[in-house]
Amino acid sequence: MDAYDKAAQQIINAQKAIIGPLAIEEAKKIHGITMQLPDIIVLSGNKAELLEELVRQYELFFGKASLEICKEAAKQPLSQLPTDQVPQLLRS
Amino acid sequence: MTLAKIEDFSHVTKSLYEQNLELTERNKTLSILQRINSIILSSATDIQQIAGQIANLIVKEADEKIVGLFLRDKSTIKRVSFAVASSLDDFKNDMDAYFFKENIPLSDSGFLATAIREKKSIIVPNFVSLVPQFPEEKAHTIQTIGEITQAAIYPIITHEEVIGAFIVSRREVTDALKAYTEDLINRLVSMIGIALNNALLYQDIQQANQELKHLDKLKDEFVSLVSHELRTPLTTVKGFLSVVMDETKDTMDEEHKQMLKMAYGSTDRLIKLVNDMLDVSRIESGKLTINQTKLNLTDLVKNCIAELQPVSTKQKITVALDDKSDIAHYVSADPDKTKEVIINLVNNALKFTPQGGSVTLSCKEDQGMIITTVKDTGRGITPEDLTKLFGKFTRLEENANQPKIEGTGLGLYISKAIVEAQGGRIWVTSEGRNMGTTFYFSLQKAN
Repeated sequence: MDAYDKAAQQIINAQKAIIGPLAIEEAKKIHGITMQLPDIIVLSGNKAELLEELVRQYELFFGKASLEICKEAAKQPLSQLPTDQVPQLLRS
Repeated sequence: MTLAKIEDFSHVTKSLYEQNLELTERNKTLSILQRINSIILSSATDIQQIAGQIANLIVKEADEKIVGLFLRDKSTIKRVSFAVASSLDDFKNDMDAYFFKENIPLSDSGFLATAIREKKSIIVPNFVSLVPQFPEEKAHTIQTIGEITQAAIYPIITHEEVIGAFIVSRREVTDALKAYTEDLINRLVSMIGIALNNALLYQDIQQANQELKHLDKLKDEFVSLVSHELRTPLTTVKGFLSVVMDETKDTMDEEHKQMLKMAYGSTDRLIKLVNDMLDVSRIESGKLTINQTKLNLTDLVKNCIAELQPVSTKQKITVALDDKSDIAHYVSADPDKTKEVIINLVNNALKFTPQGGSVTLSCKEDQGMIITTVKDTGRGITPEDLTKLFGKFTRLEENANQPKIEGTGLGLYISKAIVEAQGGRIWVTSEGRNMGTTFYFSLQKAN
């Protein structure tokens, strides 16, 4: 599991804590994001782009507050990456 | 669906999300506070243990990186616990060594002492500034790994007094969560204050208890020693006075005989006082020994009456057993202690009954108990004084026209303790002044 996988996992878990199973339903709408086991997220393809799309999906439906939650959740996993590899939406 | 309706729907969804977020954060806050409440209500009383549990809880559940708890002890501040997030585990030993390990004087110019002295929260720009004695390079590393942007010091105040301080590292938090984080910290400080205050109070009580136990032991030893040291020479004096009185009864003049008699009487009273004090000491230290056996109470009462015959005859007071049934009543009681009670009550009755009066004793069975009564035709007792009777050193107010009554004021207190130690009860009734008094005590009937 790399930094992007961990970030996606943390983001979905954080959103799940607020909106429940709806968080997973929205995540599954992104082509390239699948659930292998209950609650294990797998990103297939350009992971940085998938992550950005996931965050945009949440922001679209749930607003700026959800974007802030995504940023907070992804902070730690993405802290190891150089800034240019961090999706634009998730940069501080 | 029209654009307007899509926008409405979107607005509602976002609003619902924000409300859910608020609920989630409040839940988190309440959960943490509830856990601290459990610590407060638990049987843990050790301050270090409680402070350690709280610090670890905050680090784990509130996702704080560094937490420290400090107590103020008069003019010194000491660390009672600290905790760090798992990402800073490698620096735990350094934290232990440098994070305010030594006690700090309240007059110190640093941030921690200032926050406590001035009873105000202080935000320190960074961890390095908070703990200047920390090796700078390590402090910077801790700051980076923990994403620590500031450190906050909150004085812990209970009953308007600062009992310590709470230090927590602060990190960059998104705007959406900022308000909740502040709310949590503010509530935490109050709860921590309650937890630590309770533990401090318990500590004080324990200490006071220890001191009281020690003082109590000293008191018992003192009373025992003094009583023995007083009793022995007093008994000697009484003995020699008795010998002198006996040998000079035919040769000594009346005046000197009276002096000897007074000296003998005074010695006797002093010995009684010492014995009573010893009894009281035994009662209060729980060392009153009762040897219960099957006792013929009727016979005991008759013996006591016979023993007090010389005194009652001298005072021209009739003392008798009212025993129409002629049944022997058996009780489960200590013979010596029960005799002490009867002698005490009859002696009291004789003291407070004028010449020509009477003291009547009786025993009767009532619901598995044998009740002994000592009824006199004496001064009587007012309702207000009835309530005071069984206290220590109680002596009722005396009328200037009546002769002074001697006594230690301990007889009834001791009698009550003896009766109750045997599972019985003692009580008194009186119709009022000059209407006589009746004392009752009950003892378990023997099978």
